[in-house]
Amino acid sequence: MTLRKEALYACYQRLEKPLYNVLFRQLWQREDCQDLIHDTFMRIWERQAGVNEETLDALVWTIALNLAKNRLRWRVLRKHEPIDEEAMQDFNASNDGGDFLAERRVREALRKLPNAWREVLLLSEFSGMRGAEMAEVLGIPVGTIASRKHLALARLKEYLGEHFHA
Amino acid sequence: MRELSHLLRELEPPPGGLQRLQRAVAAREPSPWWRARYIRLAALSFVVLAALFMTWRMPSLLTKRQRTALLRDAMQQAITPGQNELRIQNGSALELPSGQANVRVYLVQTESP
Repeated sequence: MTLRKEALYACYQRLEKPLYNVLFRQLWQREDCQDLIHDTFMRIWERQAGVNEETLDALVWTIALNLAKNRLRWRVLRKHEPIDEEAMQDFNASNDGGDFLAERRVREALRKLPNAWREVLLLSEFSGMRGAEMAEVLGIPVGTIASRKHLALARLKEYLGEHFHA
Repeated sequence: MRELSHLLRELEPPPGGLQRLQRAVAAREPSPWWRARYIRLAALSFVVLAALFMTWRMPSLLTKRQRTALLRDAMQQAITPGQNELRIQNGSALELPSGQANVRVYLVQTESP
């Protein structure tokens, strides 16, 4: 049960984009997301002897989400806030010049969501995992996944109002 | 199927992530040059440890072997047939009563080297 280098790289190629999308909507900083994804895979490589390739994806998600939580906690402690405009420039640049205001509204709405709800919402949007897989990664029952997602969507609709369907 | 694709557009991660990971993984691996050096160091350590062990144990082993040889010689001399008297070199022997005519019992002791 030793992780091969090829399996690590293949996993990186498979999960980089979904990870980036989930993490960016939590950290809102491009470099932080890049570093966090890198750190996740390096942590896994450092304990390669005990890593099962069959459950590698779930392990990557678990570590990445925990690192993101730590990062957010660190920001709260240090009263560190990412620079909004810079983050939005990144956001827009990768969206071929999308609507700045619309993106900003979505961002504010997401930020107001409780972390646990936002996490489930983003995972269900980008990770490609099913409910049971998400439940395993987050260490919560499957039913909780469904309820958190439902609550997050309802709250997002409430925050965005008419812009939700725009 | 994504439910919020109109709100949460899919972003492209910055390029170069995989190359960065590959570089970091490669940097953690010991190079062949280091591996050869480790092997040489291990061999050298083994030789030094073996020499130290021999230096520590050799004198007592030699002494023991020498005593055994002397004892064996003394006993052979004592039981050599055709001799009425004992002739002992490098030691001494004391004949003990055996109770039987064809059995001779000696207490043999070597001279310590």
